[in-house]
Amino acid sequence: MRHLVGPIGLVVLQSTAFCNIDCRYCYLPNRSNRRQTMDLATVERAAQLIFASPHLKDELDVVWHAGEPLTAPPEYYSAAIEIIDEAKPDGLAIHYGFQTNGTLIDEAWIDLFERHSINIGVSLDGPRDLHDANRKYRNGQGSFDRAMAGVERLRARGYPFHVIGVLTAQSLHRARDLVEFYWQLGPTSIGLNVEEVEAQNRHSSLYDADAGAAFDRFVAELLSEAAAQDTPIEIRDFARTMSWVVAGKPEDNDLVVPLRIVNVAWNGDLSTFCPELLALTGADGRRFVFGNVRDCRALTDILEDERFVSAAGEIWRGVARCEEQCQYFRVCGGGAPVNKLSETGRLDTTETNFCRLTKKTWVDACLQLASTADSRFELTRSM
Amino acid sequence: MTQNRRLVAGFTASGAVLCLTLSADGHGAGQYIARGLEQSVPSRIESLREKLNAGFPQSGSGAGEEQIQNIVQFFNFSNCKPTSAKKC
Repeated sequence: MRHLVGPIGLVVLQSTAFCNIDCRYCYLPNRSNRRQTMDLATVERAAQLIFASPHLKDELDVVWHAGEPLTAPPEYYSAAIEIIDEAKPDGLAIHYGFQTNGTLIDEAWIDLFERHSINIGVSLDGPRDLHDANRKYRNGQGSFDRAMAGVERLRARGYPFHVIGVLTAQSLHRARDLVEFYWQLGPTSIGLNVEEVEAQNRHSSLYDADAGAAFDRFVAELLSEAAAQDTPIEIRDFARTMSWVVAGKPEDNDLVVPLRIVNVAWNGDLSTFCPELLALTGADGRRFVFGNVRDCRALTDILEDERFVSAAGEIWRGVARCEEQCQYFRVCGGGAPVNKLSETGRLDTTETNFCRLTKKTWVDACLQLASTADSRFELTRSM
Repeated sequence: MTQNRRLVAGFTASGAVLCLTLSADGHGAGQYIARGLEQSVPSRIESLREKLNAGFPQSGSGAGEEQIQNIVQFFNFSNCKPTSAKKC
C-alpha cells in the first residue's frame, strides 16, 4: 500500500477554527479562538496547488469543517466558491459540503446552499436529552433547540441534509429512540460516529471495559429497528461496511493513502491522511503539518517533507502489522492513524478501541445479518 | 408474523445499489453479536461474496468483483445524494 498516492477525493478546508458551541467530546484545541480564520488568498493558493496536482480525478468533494463553518458569513463562502470554481480545471465536478452544528442555519444560508447545491451534514446526537448532554454552549445551555430550528428551516425549504450523531455510553440503550428521532427528520443518510479519545478529548465513555458488548447489542438493535421502518434511510456505517464486505479491498482505506484526503488549516497548513491530524500534537511534541500552501510549489512537495516521510513510514508499518495480525484487514485496510496515535501514542500500532467499535462490530453485524436464513440480497442497477 | 424489510446497504462504481432484505422479527435486540463463531472472518466474507456472485451472474464480472465507488470514507458526502435511498 505504500506505493499508492491519491487520487484526491476530499479536501477539508478549515475556514475557521472557532465553534459557537463547546461540545464535551470535541477534539479541536482552538475552538474558542475567533481570530483563526482562513483568508481568501489562502483559499486561492490552496485551490491552485490542488488543481495543478496530477492526482486529481474527475470528481472532488470540498468540505468546510474542523470548526463551525457557519460562523463565517455566507458572503465568505460565495467568494470562496467563486475563487475555487474559477481555478478548477475543465471537466472536474466539485461537490461542496458543510458539516455544521445547525444552530446558525437561516434563510440566507439555505439560499447559498441552493445556489451551489451544497451537501449539508448536521450534527445531531438524538433526542434532546442525549444531544444536550454533550452539545452545549459555553454557558452550559444545550444547543438542541437551535439545532432543531436549523433543521426545521431546511425541512421547510425541502433542502436535503444528512445527519451525523456521536454515540456515547448514554446512547447504547436508546437504539429505538434514535431510530424514531432520526427517521422523523427525514435525512438522506444517518452517520453514527463514536465518542473518541482524540486530541483534546482524553476519555471516551465507550472505551470503558463493559461498553463493548453493549455497543454490539446497540448495533444489532439499531439495525433491527431500522429494518422495521417503512421508509429506507441509509445508515452510513451499515452502507459503508456492507460495501466493503461485498466489494472492498484494503486499498480502499483513504485514511492511510497520501493525498486521498487533503486537509488545509485556517492558516494554510497542509496535511493528509486523517483530517484530525491537523489538530493533534504527538506525545513527543511533533505535529502532523507537512507544509503550507504559501511555501509549496506543488502539492506533492508535502510528500517529500521529512515530517511526512516519518509519519507515513510509521503509518505504513502499522498497516503492515494490521495485515499480519487482524482478521478484519481485508475489510478495513489498516485502521485510522489518528486513533492509533490518540489511543497508543504511536502510528505504527494495530487494534484500537475505535477499530473495535467502528469496524469490527459493524462487520460482525453485517456478516451476521447476511448469513441468516431469512435474509437475501438484491442488487439493483441504478445507472 | 414475519415482515420483510429492506436495509439499503451500499453503492458500487457501476451504480449498483445493494439491498439486504431481512425479517424484522428475526433479529431481536437480545441477539447481540458473537465474534469468531464457527468460521474465521475472512472465510465468512469469502462465503458472502460467493453467495452474491452466485446470485447475481448478470453483473458482469460478479458482484464480488465490483469496485467500491471511490467515496471518501471519512464523511461519505458522496453517499448522501438526495435520491440515493429511493433507488432501492
